Amino acid sequence: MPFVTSHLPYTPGRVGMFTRPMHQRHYHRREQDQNENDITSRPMATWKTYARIILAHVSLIVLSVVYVGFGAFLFYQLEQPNEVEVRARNIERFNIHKRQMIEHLWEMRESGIGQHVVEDLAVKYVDNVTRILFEAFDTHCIGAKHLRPGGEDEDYNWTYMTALFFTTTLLTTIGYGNLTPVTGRGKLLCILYALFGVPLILITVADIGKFLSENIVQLYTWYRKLREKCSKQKYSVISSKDDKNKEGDLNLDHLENYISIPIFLIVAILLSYITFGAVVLSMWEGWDFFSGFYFSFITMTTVGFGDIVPLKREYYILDLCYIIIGLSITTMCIDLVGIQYIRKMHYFGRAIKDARFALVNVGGKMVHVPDLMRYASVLQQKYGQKKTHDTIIVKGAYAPKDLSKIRFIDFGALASIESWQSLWSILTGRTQEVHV
Amino acid sequence: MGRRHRRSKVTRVVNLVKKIIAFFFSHIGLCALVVGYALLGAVIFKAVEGPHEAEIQELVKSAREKAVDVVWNATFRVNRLDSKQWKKTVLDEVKRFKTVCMLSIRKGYDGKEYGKQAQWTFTGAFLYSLTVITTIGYGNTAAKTYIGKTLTMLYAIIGIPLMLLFLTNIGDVMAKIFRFLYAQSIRLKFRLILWHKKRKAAKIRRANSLVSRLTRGHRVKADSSVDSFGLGAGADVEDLLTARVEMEQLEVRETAAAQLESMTVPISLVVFTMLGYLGVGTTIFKVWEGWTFLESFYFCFISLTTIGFGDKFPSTSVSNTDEAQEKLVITSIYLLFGMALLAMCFNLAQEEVQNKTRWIADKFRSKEDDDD
Repeated sequence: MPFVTSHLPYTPGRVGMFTRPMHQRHYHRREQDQNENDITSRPMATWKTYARIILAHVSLIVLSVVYVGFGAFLFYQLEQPNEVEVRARNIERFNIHKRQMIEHLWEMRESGIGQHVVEDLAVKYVDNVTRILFEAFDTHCIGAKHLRPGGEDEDYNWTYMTALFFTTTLLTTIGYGNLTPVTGRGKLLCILYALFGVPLILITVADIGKFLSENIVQLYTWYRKLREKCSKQKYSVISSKDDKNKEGDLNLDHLENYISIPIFLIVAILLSYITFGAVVLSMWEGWDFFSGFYFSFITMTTVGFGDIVPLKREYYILDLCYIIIGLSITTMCIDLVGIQYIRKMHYFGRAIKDARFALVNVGGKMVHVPDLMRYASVLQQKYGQKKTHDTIIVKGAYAPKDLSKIRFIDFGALASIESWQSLWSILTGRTQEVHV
Repeated sequence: MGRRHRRSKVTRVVNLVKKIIAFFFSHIGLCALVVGYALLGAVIFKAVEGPHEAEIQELVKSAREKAVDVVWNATFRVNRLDSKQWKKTVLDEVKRFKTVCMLSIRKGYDGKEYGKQAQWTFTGAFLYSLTVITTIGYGNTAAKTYIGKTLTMLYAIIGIPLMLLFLTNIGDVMAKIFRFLYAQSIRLKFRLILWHKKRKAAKIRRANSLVSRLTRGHRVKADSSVDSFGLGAGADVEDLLTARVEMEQLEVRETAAAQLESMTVPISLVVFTMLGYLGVGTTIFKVWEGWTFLESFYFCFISLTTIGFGDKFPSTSVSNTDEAQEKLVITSIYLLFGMALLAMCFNLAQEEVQNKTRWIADKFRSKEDDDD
């Protein structure tokens, strides 16, 4: 089975809104345990299980797409008439002012007034032209091309395609701001639409990210198995086993799986995707590579300044696909690496602070935890070679069949494993001392 | 001896580093770290982008002066009778100035005068840093130079996880505080109810004693059969009332215990808190900026959800006066605290939603079992 997901279809608002889906991880693990219990206790038909899984994912994606499309239609209906009106009004205002300036300056010239007065008046008129141009540009309805004769009807902002682009960037909280609702009803619709849509899109993106991360873990586990199989042949002659080594092997395998995805692989995936996007976007839009990279980065982090945005409307659908997949990859990276490292750091700080004053009973002697860790590190330095040797011996041991399913280990379990290993190394060290 | 001394020194250094890390990832240290990081960003971006802004403003000013000179020269030199030629010259020059103006707007010109108003003041840069690490990203203040953009990307790589950690941490802490206050209010409520019940019980007991006294007075004068009947009736009524009151008190205590054990804040209270905070922000920005109620609410909503269009922005704050700088600082504090509050609200709401989802899942599972 490629992956196990919950029976329940997702509902909006289930996952914490507007934050990275870090809590969802716990939820999924719990659901996964329940599902595994169900599967082991009552085996179901394979086709039924697959149908249920696929139905949940596909229905979520379809719901999101329909929601985005319908929102695009609503915003187009509300904002497009307003844009036509604003553009016509501003162009008319600019033209009137231009004619006034020309006529007035010519009259001044005719009447022979002094240079100083005419110059002041000219400065005033040019300032007014500047202000009118700036205000017109600020409405985002007028560009330089629309001020040419005959250019009034070109390239309206609010078409259905641009509205689709707007709704997608709204719900993903990127929010470029190059296109925004201007009317009061548009703003109100924007608030209500985002209130329900942002959780929906976050859940969908998190779902896709989860799918990607699980497939990455599967591929990496398969790759490691293949590599272990190759290296296993070198040590096939060594086959000694005992219970202690077997238990150690299980724990080591758990740890190995836990940290199986190295951080450089995740960073490489992320950088590759951003670079790929930078190259493609710079080809489409005529940007330089740096601008494309900057745009991709600002988009994937959902900062979304809007100082650089795609302008070629024929590529908008492809831009949206790139954005959604990119956000899923970002979510995947955060899911695999980011949250773990963040929580590890936080746990590290908290654990040290709390554990400083704890006492542990080791061999009948009360020892502070920092002292215990110091002893453990000293002993590991002293007997590191033996540990390596044990690892080599253990490599050919029994590996359980469901190894690939054991991917998530609690910090409590990890802490207990670490403490167990420390104690084990201490005991091994003491045994060695006894021998010496 | 030397080896031992060196190890103890190394151990001391390691312990010091661990202590520092523990402090920085505790609650207060984390807040200080976020604020310090934002201040660092403010210093960097002001140094990088400020000169560029001044340069652009100077460019537009020069273009304007050049346009005025050309118009005057055309007016002075052209033949008095040739009106068409003069109009053509003036129109060409206005068109050229328009082009320069548009290009400068794309490069970051915002219509402000050189030296009088600037976007990249310290507080403006601080707000920019904050919008980067919170991923709000208004965009009306944005880096324009290559160095500025590169620094923005590096700044975001470190700052966004830091802000995520801060919000998670502060969200947890605020959720605990909120839950504690809610529990205290529940205890207070049930204590009031118990007090009312006890007062009622005391009243009933006093009434019972009066009835007993009257009955005892009557007993002296009446015959034996009437005495036994009246006394029995009074005793039964007294016992019944007392038992009912005690039963009510027990029910109240059990209800209080049940609610305190579940300890989940209702979603309506969480939503009300969030709407209250949005309402406060709406009032502040309405008074400051002269926006309508809908526009202010729209700005607060778009900001706290980190969408951040930038079409509405505290525009009069972008100047060098002290009052405007103070407004920017208050806006920054509002956003930072608002996002922490949002994290708290969704922390609490998520618990409630998870509980309900689990309940629904249990229902579905039992239904499936029944079907099987």
